[in-house]
Amino acid sequence: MTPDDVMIIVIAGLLSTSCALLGGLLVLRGQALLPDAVSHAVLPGIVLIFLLTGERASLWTVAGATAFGVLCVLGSDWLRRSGVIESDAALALVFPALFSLGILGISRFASGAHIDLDSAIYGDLTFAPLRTMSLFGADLPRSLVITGVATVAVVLLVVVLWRPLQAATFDPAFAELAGLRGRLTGQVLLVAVAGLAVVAFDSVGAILVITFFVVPASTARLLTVRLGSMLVVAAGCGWIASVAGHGVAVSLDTSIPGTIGLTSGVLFALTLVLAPRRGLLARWRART
Amino acid sequence: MTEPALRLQGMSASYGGRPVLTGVDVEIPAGVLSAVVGPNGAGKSTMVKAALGLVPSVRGTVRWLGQPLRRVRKRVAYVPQSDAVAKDFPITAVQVVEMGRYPHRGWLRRLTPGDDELVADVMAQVGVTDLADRPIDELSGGQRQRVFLARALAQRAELIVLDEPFTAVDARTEATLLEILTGLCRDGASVIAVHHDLRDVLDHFDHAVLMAGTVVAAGTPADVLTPDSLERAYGMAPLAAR
Amino acid sequence: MSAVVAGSLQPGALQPASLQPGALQPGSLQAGPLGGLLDALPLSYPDAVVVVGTAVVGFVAGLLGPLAVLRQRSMFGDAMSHGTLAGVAVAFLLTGAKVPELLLLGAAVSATLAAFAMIALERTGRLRSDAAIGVVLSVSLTLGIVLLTGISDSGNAQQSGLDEYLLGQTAGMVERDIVVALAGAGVAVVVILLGFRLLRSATFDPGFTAVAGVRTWVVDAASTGLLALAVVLGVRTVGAILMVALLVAPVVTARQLTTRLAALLPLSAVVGAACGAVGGLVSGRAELPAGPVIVLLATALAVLAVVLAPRRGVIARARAGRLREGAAR
Repeated sequence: MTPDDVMIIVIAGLLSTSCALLGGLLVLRGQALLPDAVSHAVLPGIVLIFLLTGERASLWTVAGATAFGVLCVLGSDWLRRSGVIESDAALALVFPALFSLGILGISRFASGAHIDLDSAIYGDLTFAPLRTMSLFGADLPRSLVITGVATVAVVLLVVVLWRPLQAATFDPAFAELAGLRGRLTGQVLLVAVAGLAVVAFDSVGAILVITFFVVPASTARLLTVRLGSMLVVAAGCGWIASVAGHGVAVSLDTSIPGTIGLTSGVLFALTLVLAPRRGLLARWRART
Repeated sequence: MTEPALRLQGMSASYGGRPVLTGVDVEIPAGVLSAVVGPNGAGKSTMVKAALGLVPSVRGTVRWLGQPLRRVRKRVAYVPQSDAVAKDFPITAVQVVEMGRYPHRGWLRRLTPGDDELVADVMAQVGVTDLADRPIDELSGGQRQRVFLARALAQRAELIVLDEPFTAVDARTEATLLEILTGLCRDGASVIAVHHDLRDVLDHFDHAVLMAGTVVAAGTPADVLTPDSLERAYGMAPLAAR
Repeated sequence: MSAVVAGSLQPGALQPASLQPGALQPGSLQAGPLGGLLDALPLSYPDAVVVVGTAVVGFVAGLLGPLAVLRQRSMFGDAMSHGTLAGVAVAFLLTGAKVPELLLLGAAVSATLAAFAMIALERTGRLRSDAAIGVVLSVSLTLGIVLLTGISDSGNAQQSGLDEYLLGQTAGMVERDIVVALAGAGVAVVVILLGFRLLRSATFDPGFTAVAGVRTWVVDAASTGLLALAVVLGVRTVGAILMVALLVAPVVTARQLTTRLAALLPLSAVVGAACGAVGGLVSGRAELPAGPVIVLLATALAVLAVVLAPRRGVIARARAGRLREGAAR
């Protein structure tokens, strides 16, 4: 394995870790599809910042993208609370509209410029080690720095907000009455998801973000009975998928994020059948 | 003079633009086992939830133990209806009970050895000690209800509010829970339970509030559950009372 | 690959010939079965093809969208449309894209498989429906991407046209596409008419259907098949990513205006068709990609309906609420 390979695995693993932590909470809150919607909805933010500043990978980009992600969350939430649309339809209404705006923006104003739609959709993890920035005198891949910072921030967030997140997901009324500010933490969580989706978008592209958030978390739920262990196992599944997926991609010469996602899916399928307590085989045995 | 456990004045609440409660004026005394009864859709649960600030668009004055809710959060514990919690959440029984200490410890402070002792005590009191490490989704309805009462007990609250605590609960659990609740009242605490079994209320409760879109009658169960007021609550459409 | 993706966003840009049924020779297509109809429209021939094509696609999506939306399965459509990608890739690998209908068939098969996988996962009781959708969407999409990348790395020059399944394109639309879409629309209308009563009870009261002796899986299978039909027809036009909006937005609009299913289905279909036609026309004139224009149009209508609809609209409700409160005092 070359140093570049190691770097790709580390970036993917860090990303899996942060996505699995937030994804685990989203899966338990019945909001598993939110990262998918957000990762599409951020496109107009990226385009807008590009049109305004000419930059496509600055802090402004992250801020603009996150703003549209939050807009997507708030918009669908408003539609749901208006009481005329179910929450799934509200989400399905908002994110394609925002994504459409982004596509139109690209094709109208930026088609000659170098917003690379291909990498926006598929991501460009493969080239991540090549784009470096200097930090404290060392040349480090930009993706590594961004993903690393995001992961540390997510871990801190989950640790600090552990009780309100746990209580508000399990029993929202209790969290509210106990003075844990459950509703507020829920909103903080959504903003964090929007921000992380932007980071993930940068590395793996819009359409694979959902994989990193949902699949390892769903696998972990089948293996654990406590929230803490579920989130740790989910991050572990993410790392396993990153290492194995990278290996498969190199030997088959195909998309790295794609094979990481696929490995994650295989891991889930195996767990669904074989998990010791909650697996299908165990249940079938218990019945007969 | 002790303040009433709950006093509502001119309270109204609506769900999705539809009024569920109108003109609720009622006082529930402290230190007694009180039931909120009425037909389906009478707004029993809504009244309790509205008073606890869990329902949007509520009007009127709410006083718990003579104070607005935000002043007495730590002194009031709530046991939600069993389907209001995420049943597939990965959490063990003992972790649920530990949540009862969160209001006192906040976001970050660790639980003290005293907290752990208290958790163990209340779990023994409701008879779920041996279930401590079982995940909540493997418990029966009755076992789960015991765990949630234990959480309320761990909160050491002066007032416990329960929403339909005896649905999907076996007879033995119901007897145990009632005994514990009666004991709490003897020790000076107050209990308000939304309930639908009128027989139970007559036999075990000290006070009752009969609802049908608003308060039809309140007082001792024998005074409230008269054929006349029952006719008024159950004999007409829930909202016609306004 | 990126050049091709960007290219497919610009109507009129060169399209890989492999995915276009028939070559781009307008003269030879004039004599198609729909020639008379297309000539009757006050539009140039290529415009007429796009407008009629997008209208039919919008019609089918609007008609069948309620199967997803009213059963709280909107995002089902999203996973199904992403699920088409793997099927298209496999069909391409097997047949080499010589017959475009085979690619459609591949798309239909994999979208249906994705739907059944979601239903099966939900039935295991181990995952909530949103997580089940997320897992299936992820797996089918990554499978599609891995296969696609495999194809493109194999040096096959015609492969990249598959990308347009993600973003859709109308520029290369020809009469044969309309005929296929019309056939699909015919099937959809007939099945809906025949199964309307069953559909009504299954939508509003799933328990009743089970009691009435009709297995729920029959209803599930039928509505899944129909949704796959709508998705497959729509994906080529608006793309896999935006398809879900075409299924959902017309239904939201229609439901704001009527609560009767018998009126909702045709209304939603008409709204879908109108958005398709107008969007197709506008995008052609403004040289914009059609999918996003159609989707934005449909979404704008839906939001307007949510806010302004006479009885169910947000404004109407707020006003009624205030009146009632006034009366109660």
